[in-house]
Amino acid sequence: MSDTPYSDTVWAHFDNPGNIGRWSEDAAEVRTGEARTPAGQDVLHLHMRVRDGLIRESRFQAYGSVAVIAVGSWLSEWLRGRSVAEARDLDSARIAEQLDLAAVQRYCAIMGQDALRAALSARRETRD
Amino acid sequence: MMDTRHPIYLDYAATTPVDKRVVETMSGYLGMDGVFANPASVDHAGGAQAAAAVNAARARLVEAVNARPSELIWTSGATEADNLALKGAVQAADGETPHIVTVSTEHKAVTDTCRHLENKGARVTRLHPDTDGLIQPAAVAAALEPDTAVVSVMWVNNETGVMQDIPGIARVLHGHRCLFHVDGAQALGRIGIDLEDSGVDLLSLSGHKIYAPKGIGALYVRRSARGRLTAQMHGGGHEQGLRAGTLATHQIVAMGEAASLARDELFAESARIRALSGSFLESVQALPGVHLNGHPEQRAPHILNLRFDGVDGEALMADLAWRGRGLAVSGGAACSAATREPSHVLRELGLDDEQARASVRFSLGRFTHREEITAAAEKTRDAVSRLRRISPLWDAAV
Repeated sequence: MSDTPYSDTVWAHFDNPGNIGRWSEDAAEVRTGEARTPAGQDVLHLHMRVRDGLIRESRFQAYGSVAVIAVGSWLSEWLRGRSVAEARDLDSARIAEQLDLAAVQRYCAIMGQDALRAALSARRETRD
Repeated sequence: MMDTRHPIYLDYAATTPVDKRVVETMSGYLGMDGVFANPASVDHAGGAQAAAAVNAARARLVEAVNARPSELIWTSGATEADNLALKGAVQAADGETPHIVTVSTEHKAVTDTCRHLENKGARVTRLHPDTDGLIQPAAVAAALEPDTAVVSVMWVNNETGVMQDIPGIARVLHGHRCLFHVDGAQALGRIGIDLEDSGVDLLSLSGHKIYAPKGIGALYVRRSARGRLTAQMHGGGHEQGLRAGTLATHQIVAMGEAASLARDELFAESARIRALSGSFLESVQALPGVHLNGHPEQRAPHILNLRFDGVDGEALMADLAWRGRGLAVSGGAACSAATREPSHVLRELGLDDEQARASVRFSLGRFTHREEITAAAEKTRDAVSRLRRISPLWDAAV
């Protein structure tokens, strides 16, 4: 839908986001990271199931602008099957480039990176 | 058969389309075959015809608000009328630092003008409404000072539709020498206005809110207030010396026609719109966590400012505007995509930033049909439900 004020990638993810939701609190192998803007206006939760250094699945929840929802959806798709090492290398510039974010939406890419880093450094007890 | 690709327009508080009857009327005042002459050129027939048309339009507009033709000054719109009223009253007042009483939830045309006058030395008291958006007349009375030059209170709030008790405020001002200015841009054509015994000295009016084109408005100036305003536009002494500039005959004729239509159709139209907005509200409130901002009864029928728990207004408006059949609505106010500044009006009603950002204004008008309201309510429910499924705030709340 090119007549929106958003990039095609942002709109596609907002229009039809993938991997919405989270796992239950006590699910195994789950790591969760959260990012907020300073004023608490936008919120991004990123969840992933990690086993043997590989991200098996990812889900997201987002509140805020169209772009932060798109970033959450894009990240949840991109992360699936990636190694933790690859995920650590993903930075906000790459996220912004992949989603073709406008300058005023760049903060959403930074939120994506922050949520991802928070999730990667989260340690949870594994219950098999 | 309705064109489903055509967006559903629910932003009538921002502006209205020009009524076809108005377009037809005004088109006779533009071209070589029409009455295009300058209404000040009364020495030839064309000019005299234009002057007569302006006078007829003036009569039609004042008839809609029960005033006299000599009490109307044409302007470019309500913003200019607000500027003329406030700057004109303060500059004409005695004393070094005239005092203004106004309300924190006014339109920017009033708040910014008051700020400008404050920077020039005027003193401004800003009253804060209660959580319903209402100002008590007693609060206005308590704010008065001996050198209060003007009290400015809008009739119908442009964001919430809340209707202030203008007659009640006028009563407490009776006997005080200050002028009472009212921004009536959202009131004309929506509620009955009778200025004769209203106690209102100055009333700002807008054409494009009543199905006339943009670029035309008026300031009602009660005859007793005329000598107490200083002109802001100079260059020919038009409009009793209060507003210079060649009169825009076609715009003026359009506003006169639109005001007549608004007056003739006010009763039926406001009842119809009240029923439609009631249906819309009921339909979207089938969802939990949907709140009406502002007083539930003391309001104009055409504006619904709704707050959706757990949903961000920008995402909601984007969903409504661009997914499927478009729905044209507004944020609480100028919810700038760049700064994402929450509405000052909603914050004044005690909403926090998250609540203000979760709010969207739906405004109905003359061409809103029931099937559009049914479709819009369904679309709104779908969009809110969809965004709530994504929202961690809603997930945490339920």
